[in-house]
Formats: sequence, C-alpha cells, structure tokens
Amino acid sequence: MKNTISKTKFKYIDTVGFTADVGGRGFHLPRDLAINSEEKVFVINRSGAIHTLGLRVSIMDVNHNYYGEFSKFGKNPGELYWPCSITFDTEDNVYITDEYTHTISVFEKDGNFLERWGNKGNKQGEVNSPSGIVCDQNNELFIVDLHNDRIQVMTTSGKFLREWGKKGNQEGEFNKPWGIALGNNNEILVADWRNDRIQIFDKNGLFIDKFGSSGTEEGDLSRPSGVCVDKEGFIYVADWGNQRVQIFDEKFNFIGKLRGQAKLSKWAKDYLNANPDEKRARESFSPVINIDNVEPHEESARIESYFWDPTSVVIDKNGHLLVLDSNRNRIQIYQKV
Amino acid sequence: MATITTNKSLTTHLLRRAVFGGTKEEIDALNSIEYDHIVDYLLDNKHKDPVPVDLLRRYQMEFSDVRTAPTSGSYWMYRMANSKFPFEEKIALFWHRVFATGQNKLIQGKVMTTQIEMLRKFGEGSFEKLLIELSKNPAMIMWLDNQDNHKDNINENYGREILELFSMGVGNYTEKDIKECSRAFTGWTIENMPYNATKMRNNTARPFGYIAWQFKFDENDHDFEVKEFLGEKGDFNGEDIVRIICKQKATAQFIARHIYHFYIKDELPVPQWPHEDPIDPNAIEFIIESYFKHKYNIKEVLRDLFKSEYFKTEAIYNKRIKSPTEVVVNTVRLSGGLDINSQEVYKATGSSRLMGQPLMDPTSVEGWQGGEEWINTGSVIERINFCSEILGDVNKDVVINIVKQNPNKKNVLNLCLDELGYSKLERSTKIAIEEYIENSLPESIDSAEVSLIIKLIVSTREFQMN
Repeated sequence: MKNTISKTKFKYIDTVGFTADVGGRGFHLPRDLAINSEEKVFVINRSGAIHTLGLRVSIMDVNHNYYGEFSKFGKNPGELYWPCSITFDTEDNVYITDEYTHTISVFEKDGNFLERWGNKGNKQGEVNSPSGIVCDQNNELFIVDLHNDRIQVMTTSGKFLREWGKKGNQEGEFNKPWGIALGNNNEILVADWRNDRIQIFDKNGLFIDKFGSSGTEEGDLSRPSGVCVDKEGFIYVADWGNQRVQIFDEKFNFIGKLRGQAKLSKWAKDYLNANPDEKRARESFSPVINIDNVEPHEESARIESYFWDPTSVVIDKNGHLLVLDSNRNRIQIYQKV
Repeated sequence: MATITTNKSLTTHLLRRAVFGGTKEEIDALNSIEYDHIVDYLLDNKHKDPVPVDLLRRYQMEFSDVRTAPTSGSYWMYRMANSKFPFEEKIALFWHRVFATGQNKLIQGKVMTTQIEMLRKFGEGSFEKLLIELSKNPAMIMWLDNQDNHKDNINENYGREILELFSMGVGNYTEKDIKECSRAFTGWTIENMPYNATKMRNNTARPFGYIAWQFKFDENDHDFEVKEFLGEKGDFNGEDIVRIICKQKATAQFIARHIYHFYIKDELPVPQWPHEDPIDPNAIEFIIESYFKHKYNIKEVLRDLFKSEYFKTEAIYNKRIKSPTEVVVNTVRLSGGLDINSQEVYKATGSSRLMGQPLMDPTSVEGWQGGEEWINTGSVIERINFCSEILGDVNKDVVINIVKQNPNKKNVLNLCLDELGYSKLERSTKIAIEEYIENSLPESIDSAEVSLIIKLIVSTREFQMN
C-alpha cells in the first residue's frame, strides 16, 4: 500500500511523542487528545492492566514542549481507570470520560481535580461506559453512551438535558459508538463504530445524514473510532480497523487516505542519542519493508512508520491534522496542501 | 477392550480431550447426535468470528500491541476461555508444547502471539506446511538463533532442534545430517535483524513500541551448494529438508507419540522415548498409518483417532492428568467464560503459571513433559484454590444453575456433578461426600451449601483428571 494516495494532497509534517510507559515525557497507549485555547495538547494515556503506572493525562504542544501530567490509575475521585475521551469547556476546564467507572471527571486546566459525576444505568442522566465526549460553545456536553447505544446531552455539572439513539443499524441507531465531534454548522458527527459509518445529527438529535459502509476499499470504513472536521468542511475519519485515516469532502466523497509516514520525533532522537548502540543499529534500519500478505493490524505491527490503531483525529488552529497513533505512542501531524 | 458405553459419556470424553471440556448445556445439546457426527462437528465447525477481537482491542488496548509476556499469555487465555471454535485453540496448545518457544528470551509478546496465530492457522493442516511455517516463523528464528546461521559459519541450533525436538527424535539421524540441515536453513532470518536484535537484547520498547518481526530469505547468506541429508543428495533449501523429514517413518512415529501423549494418555517424558517403547504400540501404529494415508494432515489423523477404539476405550476415560492450562480453561468455561475486564483474565493466566504452565514461557526448548510432573504439593493447592474460587462463586453460572433446580440433600451431589460437565467420582469418594452432606448440611440446601459441595468436588483427585 502506498503511504498516501489522494485526490487532494496531504503532506507529512512531523511526529511528536515517544514510548513512556511509567510516566514522564511521552505516552503509553494514548486513547484521545484535545487542544485547549492555549494550544496545549492534552493526551489521555489509557495504559494497560499491568502497566498501570502509565495511566495519566499528558500536557504538551506540537513543538515538542512537555508541560507535565496529572491523574493516575484508580477508581477514586481524581483517578481514572479506563479513560476514553477528553474535551474542554469555554473556560478550558477538562472533562474526561471513564468507561469502567461510568463517570465523567472534571479538572482545571492545570490538572487540579474539581469533581466527578455520573452513575451506571440506562435511565436519563445515567450512563453505561461513556466513551466519546465533546463540548460546544454553549457548554453543553455531548456524551457517547457506549453500552446504551445513545447520545446524551448534559450540562457541565452532569444535569441531563436530552438524548437520542438506541441499539440498531437504522438511521439514528447505533452499535457501540465511540468518537464524537462538532461540525462547522452546529452539527454533531458520531463514529458509529460497529456499524462502520459516520452519522450526522443536529444538536437536538435530528438525523441529518450518514456515510460509510463496511469494507476496505477507498471510502469504506472498518470500526471508525474518531472523526473531526476542518474549517473548509473536510471530514477526517480515524478508520481504526483499516489502520488508516480517510478524508471526505462535505458531500462525503472520498478525497484521500493516509497510512502513516512517521519519522523519528525529537524525543525519540534524544533517546537514541543517549543510547549509541541502538542508534548505531538503527543506521541500517528500513522503516518500510516488504512483508507477507497480512491483515492491516499485523501490517502496522511490522512497519514502524505506519499508523497502528489510530484512535483519534483533531485539527489544530493552523489547520494541521493531528492523528493519535495509539500503539506507537505518538502523534503524526499532516497538512493539507 | 471395553469401550465407553453411553453416547453422553463418549461426548463428555471427546469434549474434554479434543477441546477444553463441555458444560452440561453443551453436552445435552449434542446428546441426540450420533457420536461420529459430533466429532465432525467439533473439527469442522470453523467459526468466522470465534472471539470478538475488535472489542478486545478496543477495551483492553494492551491486547492490541500485546507487548509484554503476561499480556500475550492473557490474550491467548481469553481466546481459549471464550472461543466458539475451541478445537483450534486446543491444537495450538498442543503444538506450543511441542514447539516450545519463550518470551524470556524474545522479550516482546507480539511475535509470540503471532506464532500462536500461526499454530492456530496451520496446526490442523499438513504437518509439512506447518513445519515450513515454523521454520519461517520469526519468533522461532530468534529463539533458536537461526539469524546467526550463515553460509560461511553455520549455527546448528535450529538444524539440531528441528530434528531432535520437532520431528524425528534422537537416534534417527546423524551429526552430519544436523550440519547439512543447518546449511539448508542459512539465510533464513528476519528483516531489520541488527536493529530488532538490539532492541530485544536491550529489552526496550522505545522509541515507538516493538516492531513485529518479518521473515526474510537472504539469498546472499544462503548456502546453495549440494547437501546430503538422510540419504538424499541435492542443492537443498529449508523446504526440501522439511519435505524429506516429513516422509520419514521416524517422524510419523514421533508425531504419533506426541498426539497420543496429548490426546489419549500420559506417555513417558519425551527424553525417554528413544529408550522405551510406547505405552500402546498398536495405537501408535494406527496413528502412523493415518498420518501417511492423509498425507500428513493432522486434523484427519485426529478425526481417525477420535473415532477409533483407541479413543473410545474405557481404559483411558478420566485417566489423564489435566495440564494447568486445561484446568484453568475448563474451569472458566464451566463458569461462563471470562469478561473482557482484564484483571480476571490476568488472574487466570497467573494461576496457570503458578500451577506450572506459564503460557509462552516454557521451562526449556523441550517444553513441558506433562503427566505426573504437573503434580506437586504447591501446584495441587493452586489447582484446588483456583477451581474452588471460580466454580464455588455463588454469583457465577454453576451455582446459580444448580440452585434454580431446588436441590435437596438427596440429589444435590448429582446435580453438582452434572453441572460440572458431567463429572464422575470414584465410588469411595462419592460415598464420603454423601455422608458429609447427610451428617453436616442443613435440610434446606441453598447457594452456600451448593458452593461448599462444589468446592469438595473440585478438591478431589478425579476432578484433576480428564
């Protein structure tokens, strides 16, 4: 597969990040990212059941500056167990969903814990594994209620406002939805994960449109995990199952796809400079090699520069696309040209 | 020889050996079907989506990059405990024991997971194809140092082990055959070997995680000259060597004895095989004949075996000691499987380790010998504790299903045995538990009493047998 095949061109810009599975500068199995009004990038590190020390929220920017981290693994207030998604309100307060504790944790922009709300259930205002979350300019939180297959809208203090959706594959129905994003015209886009499609609604839950169907060809989707929209209305989808990012225009026409072109990040170079034996061994390293005919997940495991489980996509103020490359513990950055 | 008489007993026996045992519900569902058709169903009913891999990777992200030893073992444990096609998991476990490869040297879990996937995919097909895939498997290459096997300086490690441990067994080839075999596998290495080997040696996942290894044939490092191997002469490469190996009677005998050891009855430890005859020479001859008749196809050999008198004989019913992984998987399958919540999965994997079988981390290249070597004072306690905790849990399926049947003091023991996959106890054991029930339990039997009886059953010697 070529690295980038597109009708509109996308240029690889940079890679940010590094594997750091016990905390510190870098990531461990990052799940989602979001950018606040100060252009600081907040990255949720979900980590694993063994390496729980890696669970935290990292604060950094796209220029490789690292500002610190907050929270840790646990079930107590201020801690996170299966953190999934992150968003900011208009004051830059941080909202993080937790699929295990069925809660939303709220932190100040510097990481100080404020409160946690949410109860497991299927009634209005209750949640069963909240996954994606996004906050609009009115400070309304749109929460993907994973195991209830619905979207709930709540205030920033957790008061129920409205809901839509149920389990199914018809318009307005969901099958284990994941990511959620705001469009340019107040629409809500939902990555309807196991239905292999993106659904679009107005803010009251009125179904507007949908695109994508199961498959591996251009325009097909396989378990989409994240979605975002740029100022020009281009839609970017983290096509998780196909291990790629696909780009669509406003009419949902396929216009391009990315497979990943990562090079060493600054933090990775720092590491290699401190470990000369690995640096020397890497001199003969070919990041893209001929491999057996294997499915995309295995292909990504064998080719370091490719995306390996891209879970989230975000556009920054410069119009750059940030792709959270989860299993590689890094962010790949692209620009439309 | 006396054969197992009832269809239900035969089905129970088949499920225990061919897979990981059946629940009462599963056995009852098969009861009206003719035994030979059940064999075919178990072997052929390949499921398109035996476990929800997408959900596993989504919820347990470490099951996606499977970086570490406990994670890769736990990922496999989840598959064994929940698969809708357990035959392929059991056969992978069989080959893992024969082709023992370990993370203690390889460090990264992904390549071991990929090896198990290879065993799942090719383990039931032609042994020749399996042996070629094994020889190309990057985890095996690095495990037995074939990346250091060069045309000008051979490393005999893989050349020796493919003959000694993976196909023919000691005594059926010469030292010269080992050298010629090794020459044929020169240049069988992995892509980006220097960098990947350095990362392995340094045990580092930095900067961007591990890179799963890819087989590479380096023709510049391959010895293309003529070799003489097991009496044949030619410019053999690795595939030719495997072809010659697979047609040997010694190979058929060696594989037959392994199959007998795993699926029929505990044999002597493998190092004794060159010096001791098989327990049942007729059964071994039967398997050898089937091996050649089906052109080395392992599934067809097993189909013949499961339908044969050697499998149906009363003499082997409940006579084989469960391996630790079989104990754990059988137990969690009886209790309704494992949740995706990884803590439970890791606990099951850890218990298998404590009982003496750490998945993907065998004690040596010889794997686990099995049989009575599974049993010592520590492992027995771990077996009983694990089974008691899981199966005696009043919130899990086994106890709940029994309580629903309104048990009393007269029938509760049989209800428990049936719910535990139609388990059987020896007469003296059964009498002892019946006396305990009669003398020590209240008239009203509820979940606490059911749990207690289950804990007594799983503490017996009989429950540790298949």
